[in-house]
Amino acid sequence: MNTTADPTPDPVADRVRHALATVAGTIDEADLAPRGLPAPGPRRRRRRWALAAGGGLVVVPAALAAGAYLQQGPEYVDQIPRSSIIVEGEADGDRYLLVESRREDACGRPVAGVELVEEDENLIGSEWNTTGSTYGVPREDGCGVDTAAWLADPALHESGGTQVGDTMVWLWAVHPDVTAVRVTAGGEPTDLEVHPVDGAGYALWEIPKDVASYRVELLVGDEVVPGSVEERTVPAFD
Amino acid sequence: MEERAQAVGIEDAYRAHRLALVRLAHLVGADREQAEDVVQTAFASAQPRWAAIDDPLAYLRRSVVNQVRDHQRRRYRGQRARVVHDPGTEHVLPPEVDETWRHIGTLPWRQRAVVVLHYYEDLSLTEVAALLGRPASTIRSDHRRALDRLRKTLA
Repeated sequence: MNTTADPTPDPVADRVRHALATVAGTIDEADLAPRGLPAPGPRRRRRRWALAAGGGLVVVPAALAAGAYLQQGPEYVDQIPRSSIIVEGEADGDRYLLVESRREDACGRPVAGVELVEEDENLIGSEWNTTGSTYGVPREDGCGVDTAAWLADPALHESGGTQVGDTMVWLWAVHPDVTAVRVTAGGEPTDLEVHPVDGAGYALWEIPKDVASYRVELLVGDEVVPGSVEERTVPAFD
Repeated sequence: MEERAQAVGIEDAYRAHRLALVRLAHLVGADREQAEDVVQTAFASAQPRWAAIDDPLAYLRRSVVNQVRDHQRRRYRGQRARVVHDPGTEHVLPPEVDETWRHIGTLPWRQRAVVVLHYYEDLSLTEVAALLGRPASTIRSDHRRALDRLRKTLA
């Protein structure tokens, strides 16, 4: 028991302890599926594509390198070539990197776009998760992305967020002509830099903790791209 | 429960800790089926490097907790609500336990993990910090916030 950590009785702590023990006790050996010791896990090489609902980010929890295996985060992050790093940031003590995509599609071809790498994600037992963003619509066969319709309409874009520490980091994939993504929260506009990668633009925003909603506009020079204005609410997260 | 991998074979560890780890996975947020899966994955992941692991139980706990966190994140990233059939809810809990458990379930994920590891696994907050890979000060803050929140909701 952890008696040194709780020198004085605390009814809530006792109640929590009792509840957890009781709930845990509802699972016993007989409830478990009869399984034996599993075979050794393969070196992780997983690839999964998913489109977030509502025109969100292309999300790719993926093995970051062929033959990659579980290590501590810093060692892993040190393996990323400096030349492929577009943005380095830190949120709540967790480092993150926006890097050029190093993934391959279902046909073994390089995937265009970027990946947001969270150092804190690369922990023992964790998958080698990154959040990938690609401009355009992924083809159904998993081979490549169709950008034709998007290139014809600069208002079309992808965006989505991921949690870094206790901060939500939002990422946009925009038309190559877009020069800035303007976010306006509480009446204060901020123009986010657009980084050109693989014929598209990518912009990143650490959403301030006190922001609940904001407006997004895509800019080409000083002009707002028609049809690009969005009002967004910051999703709830841990 | 510190033990050396060299002294304890993985099959023995599987028999000894599988149930406890499934319970841990469930308490930090996995449904029953998911909890069993993450424990299987934890052992599968540990197998190739078992002999090099200094503290197998700590390793397995960390692996389980991190996997559950990954599942939680995937749910968020998918941006879709998922209703999971959880046989755990079929157990009838005493009202006070049921109420407490429901409120624990509303804690932000890391606060929940801290509460479970501290009050169920009896780890010190320093050990919890090491397991979650976060500064001890952050974990102390999570612990304080979690209890404050539970005090308010359970009052």
